[in-house]
Amino acid sequence: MYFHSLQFVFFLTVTFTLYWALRRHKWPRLAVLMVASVFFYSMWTPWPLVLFLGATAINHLCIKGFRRSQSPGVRKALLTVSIVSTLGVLCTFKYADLFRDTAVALLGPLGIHVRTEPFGLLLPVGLSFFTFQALSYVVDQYRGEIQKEHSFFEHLLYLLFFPHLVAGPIVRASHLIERFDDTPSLTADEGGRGLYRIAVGLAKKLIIADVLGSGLVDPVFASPEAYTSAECFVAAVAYSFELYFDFSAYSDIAIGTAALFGFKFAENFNRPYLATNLFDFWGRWHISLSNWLRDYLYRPLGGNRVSKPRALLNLMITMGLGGLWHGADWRFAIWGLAHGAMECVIRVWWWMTGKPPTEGRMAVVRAGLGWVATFTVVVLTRIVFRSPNLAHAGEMYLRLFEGSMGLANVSTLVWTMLAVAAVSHVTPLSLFHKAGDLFVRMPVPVRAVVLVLVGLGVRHLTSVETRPYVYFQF
Amino acid sequence: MPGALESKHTSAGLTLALTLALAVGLSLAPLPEAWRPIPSLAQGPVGPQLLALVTTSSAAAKRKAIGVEPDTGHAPEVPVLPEEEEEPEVVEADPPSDAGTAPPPPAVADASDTLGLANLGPATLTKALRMEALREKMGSKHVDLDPGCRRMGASGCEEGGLEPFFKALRGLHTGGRTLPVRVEHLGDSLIASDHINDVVRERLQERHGSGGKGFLYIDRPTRSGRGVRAGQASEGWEFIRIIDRSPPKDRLPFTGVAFTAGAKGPQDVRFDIGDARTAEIFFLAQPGGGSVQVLADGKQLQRVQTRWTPAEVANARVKLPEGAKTLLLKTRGKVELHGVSLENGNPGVVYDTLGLPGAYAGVFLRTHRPYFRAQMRQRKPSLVVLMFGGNEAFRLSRDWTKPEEIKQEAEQLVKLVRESVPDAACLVWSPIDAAVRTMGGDLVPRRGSRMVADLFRDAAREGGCAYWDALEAMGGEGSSIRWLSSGLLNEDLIHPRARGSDLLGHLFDLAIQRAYAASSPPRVAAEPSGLQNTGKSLTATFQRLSKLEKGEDARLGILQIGASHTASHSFTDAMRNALATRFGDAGRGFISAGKPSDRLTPAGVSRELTGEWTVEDALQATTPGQAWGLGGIRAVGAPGASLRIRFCEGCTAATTPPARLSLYWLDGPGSGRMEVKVDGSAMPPEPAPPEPFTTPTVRIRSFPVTGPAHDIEVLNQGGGSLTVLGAALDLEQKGIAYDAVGLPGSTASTLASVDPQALSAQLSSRKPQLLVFWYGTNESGQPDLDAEKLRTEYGALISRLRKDAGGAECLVIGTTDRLQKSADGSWEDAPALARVVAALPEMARAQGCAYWSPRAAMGGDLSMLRWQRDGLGHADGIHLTPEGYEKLAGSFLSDLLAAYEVFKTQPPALAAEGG
Repeated sequence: MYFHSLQFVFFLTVTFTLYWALRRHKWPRLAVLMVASVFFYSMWTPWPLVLFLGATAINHLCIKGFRRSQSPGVRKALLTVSIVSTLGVLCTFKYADLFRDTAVALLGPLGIHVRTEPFGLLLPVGLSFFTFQALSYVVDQYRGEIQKEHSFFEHLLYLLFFPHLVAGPIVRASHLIERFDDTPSLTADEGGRGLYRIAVGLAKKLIIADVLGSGLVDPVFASPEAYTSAECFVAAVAYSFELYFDFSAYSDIAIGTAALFGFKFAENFNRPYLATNLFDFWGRWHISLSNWLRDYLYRPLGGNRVSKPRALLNLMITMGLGGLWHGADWRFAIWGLAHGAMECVIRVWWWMTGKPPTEGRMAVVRAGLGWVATFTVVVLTRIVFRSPNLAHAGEMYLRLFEGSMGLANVSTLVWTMLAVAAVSHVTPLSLFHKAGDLFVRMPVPVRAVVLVLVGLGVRHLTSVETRPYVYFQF
Repeated sequence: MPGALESKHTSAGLTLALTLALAVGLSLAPLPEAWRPIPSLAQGPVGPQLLALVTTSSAAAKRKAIGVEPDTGHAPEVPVLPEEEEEPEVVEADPPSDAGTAPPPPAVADASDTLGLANLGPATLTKALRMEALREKMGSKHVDLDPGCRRMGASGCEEGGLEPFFKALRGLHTGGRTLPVRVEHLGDSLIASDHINDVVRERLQERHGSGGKGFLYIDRPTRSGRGVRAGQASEGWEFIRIIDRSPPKDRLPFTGVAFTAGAKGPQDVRFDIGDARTAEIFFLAQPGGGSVQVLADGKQLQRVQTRWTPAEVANARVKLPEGAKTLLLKTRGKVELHGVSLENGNPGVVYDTLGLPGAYAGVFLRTHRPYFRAQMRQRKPSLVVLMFGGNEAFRLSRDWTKPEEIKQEAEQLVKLVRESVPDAACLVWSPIDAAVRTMGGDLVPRRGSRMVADLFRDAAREGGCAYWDALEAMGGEGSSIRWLSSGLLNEDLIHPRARGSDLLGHLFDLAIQRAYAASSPPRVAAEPSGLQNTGKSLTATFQRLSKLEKGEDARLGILQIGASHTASHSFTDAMRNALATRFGDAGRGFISAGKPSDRLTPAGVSRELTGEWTVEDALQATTPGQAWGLGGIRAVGAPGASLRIRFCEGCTAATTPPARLSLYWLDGPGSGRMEVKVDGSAMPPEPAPPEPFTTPTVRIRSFPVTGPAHDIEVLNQGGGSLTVLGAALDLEQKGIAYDAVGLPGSTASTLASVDPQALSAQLSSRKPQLLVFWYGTNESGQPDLDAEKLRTEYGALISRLRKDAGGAECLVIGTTDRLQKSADGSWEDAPALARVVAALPEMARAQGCAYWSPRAAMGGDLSMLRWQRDGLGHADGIHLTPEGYEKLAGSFLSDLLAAYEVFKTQPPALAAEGG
């Protein structure tokens, strides 16, 4: 079930009504959410839920074990079992064929036989997000950052809660499971803002992202040889905006939907294309993932409180694995490593020159240059991210730097959406907030009219076909 | 403040509910569609529409995001073929029939066949009729092929787009073609699993014969779909596909896939040989190329070396041993194979499927042109089918391509095919209909399909190719939505499921068949099978049979008169034996005088001529009106010569029943003196006539004998020549006598020229109750035959002979299927066959005779070729072998007795009105 389907509107209305009708009774209320979440996921296919159930059961038993054990060794062993089993699920269903292919390529020439037939396992939707959220809960429990021991039902609901299950954001326990005990409340302001976020998300996804995707990005990336360098460049830029407006739209809807049930999810994006360096960028882009990598990978590796070479290595490992998290293809790792390498350069530069001041006349110039460089790096590295393979990415780069001019294949609609995307990105947030306030203050019937008008507008402005969310595949 | 709190969260809920209500209300209101948030709601009752909205959205979600399949390596810009599903064969329930009445038999494809169901076997015809019912239900249509034009002349098209293909098919029937008729079908995912084509192949091979499986890939080009058109390959083959994102340039063969071995060690591939007798291996001969060991059932047949400089495509033909089951190819070193063609060496249809998921016309343009041309030429196709457009329409719907580009690629591919195999016909498909799902959950036709169809039609016309509008046949734009709801289309809204593919194959096959039928030169009209006009014409005959069957005292004399089919005796012997066995034996009947003949031996009859005899026949007569025997033959013996005819030679001497041995001869001026011996005993001389004969006159003398085994000897004692016409042995007991008098090469006209009195005298003596006339085959060979004259003359002859026989009933047997060799060595209908086939039934009806068509019994058009193949037809295209005549007699007997059974079940009065 997609957030942008009418089915979801019906589903949300029914779930919302039942949830709030039972809001004073914890378990019935949570049961509504559990049933709704299972139903929501089952609309794709129910079988991965069995996998999720099993993985959660193992984790839950491990948590129970190490919470009751005083032995550091036992605690660590149970944590290890939990992490290995959870990552095992991810590796099996997502990376098995990548590892097999790699082994075939590396070991084949040495005469070592490795299975060549693909495993062909289906990758369950949302597995990567599920895994990371599950790991964060286990580690937080281990670290004692979560005080309370939750029931298996709560544990499972925390992981399966439908607004974040499929494509994030990766929600920390403090934002969700620790709120299960509280009798929920929803002010008119919060409810209105939730609906506003959903409406904004729908418009971002269906109008801007899909038009950019189907109108320019898909055809150019499919056959770069058929387009000029200028068109390839515009397509690369458009892809960056498509990705942002697609993924952030999903986050908007997830955050808005969670808000309707009285949960406040952390923001996942903060106008990433205004970043002036790559560290800044990763602080604004997919924030929940960046924070997860920081808290559960980079820092456990030692972060930057180790020797400088080791700190750089930690950075590379984090970015490489973070890249690989996006897909079972080494090009994602290369994409992550490219970002990591450039972050290393920046880090070394800062070590050498000190972090530049953020104030003063030169700071503005530096910020401007940094913005240009960062945006350029983001756009260019995303070509690897978007292309189906490295060879194709190479073709795209060749075409891009060939120098041929002409923009005949960029339609007016695409230009318009690019302009809307760019302008909305630099528009002060206060304007969005004010628009939200306006919506919130509207009487209920007027809000309904506005939402229907948004729906009609979307229907007429967007492309004919719906497109799945880009981040579903991660 | 709980109440206030509730009112606050209620406001969000109210907003949601109101939004939904408003959206539903607006969708149902009488507003322009642009103002309806959910347009589909207004298309029917709200409840079901809402339900459909929810369930279809669910289906859409499931379809799109069930999981992300691991990267398959091929270009993801076009829809991939869905995984093959197990689909049980759907057996349509027969409609309930009225109590007590049998369900109607399957429609018989005959001259009124307008759909193209002709010449399908019963099982295939039943399936085809089931497909027809499905077609009706789905609103799909029979769309004729636009034949296109290969060569325009001043007066219009001089050669239709499919003429080479149809000519080749005709050649299979006329024997002018000894090579298989190959069809190369290039296409996309619709045929990648050999759906659609399997139906077409099966039917073409059923109609025109099978040349074998044809071209098979080494392995499935993609992981999806059936592997029926590929071998069982080992795991280490590597694929280079034209549908890959960046296929190597100037590298790939016409099949679009190269299978390479070497990088991961030796590889192998197995094929089920089936009925194949040859395997043709297509490969790349290249520098440093390895070898391919060819084994059948483990026994090495050949080793094919692939080392060659410079690289070029090549092929190796290997003969397969009789009875071999498995073909195994084992590689050594660097080897690139493209496929294997398995053929049985018979002249028949070979239908190759070269379907690649995601392919479009432009994709096949990426093949290496010299390879494409060389391999196409090597296949020597009679028809190349280009079946693209679906992915073009998909790409167009996403603005990934432009109409100009689509047309240009289609034109280039057509041009490439025409240039590569200029002697082959080509046929272009339009895309089929597909659908997309809108945000509102509506299913709408995918835009671009019709436009692409029009572009392809233009490309076909300009390229001299035929064109088939599959989109229109499917039911037009929007039909995919109906197909989806009926389970004929996959949830991807693009690919037909197996049953939908079968329907497309059915429609395509019938379109070909109709075009083929229309393109053929005017054929001989099909005759009805079975015995015709039996109502009144055979009443007396059947009454006698009935009496005989009841054991009553009766005799049925049948006299069959005709040409070589009768003279062969195989047909009449079989008839006589069968009838005598069932109804009783009244003797061998009449035997014409003549030379010794092995053809008489099976019936226990022999002729012997001693001394100087001249056997004359009516065909040699310089003047008409001469007296001849019934068969148009007479034997003239010089003084001293003798003639002996033995009946029931080798029979154990039976003393009963009483019998009559008759001699037929010509008496007249100058006749010699005759001595007759019966069973070696001289008979008293015949008293002289009161007055000497002034003209040759038929004389008949009978001798009482007992039992069937006798011989009669005639000696010329001098005084002139002696002309003997024949002899007859009739047992005086109830049963059937079946006379056979035939003159090879004769026609009804020959018999008509015989002295009427001579015929009359003999017939009066024989007293047949049924005259069976079998002329027509020789008339069919007369280019200048006057059909009207045939009708008149033959009719008058029958009328006269019936009277002479004392009012006998008549049965006319028509011509067999007679062929002749054309200048190019192929078989064609005898020049007057059509006229004879049209004239004889009419003439028989006019004379009140029953009519039976041996040609229809043989199988109609060009059935002689099939009979020749089966050892039933003679190599001359005219006669049958003894086995053929026996088979034909079996059919005749079966039809005659069937009519008799009908007669028995109906009162004579009603029987007279029936038929």
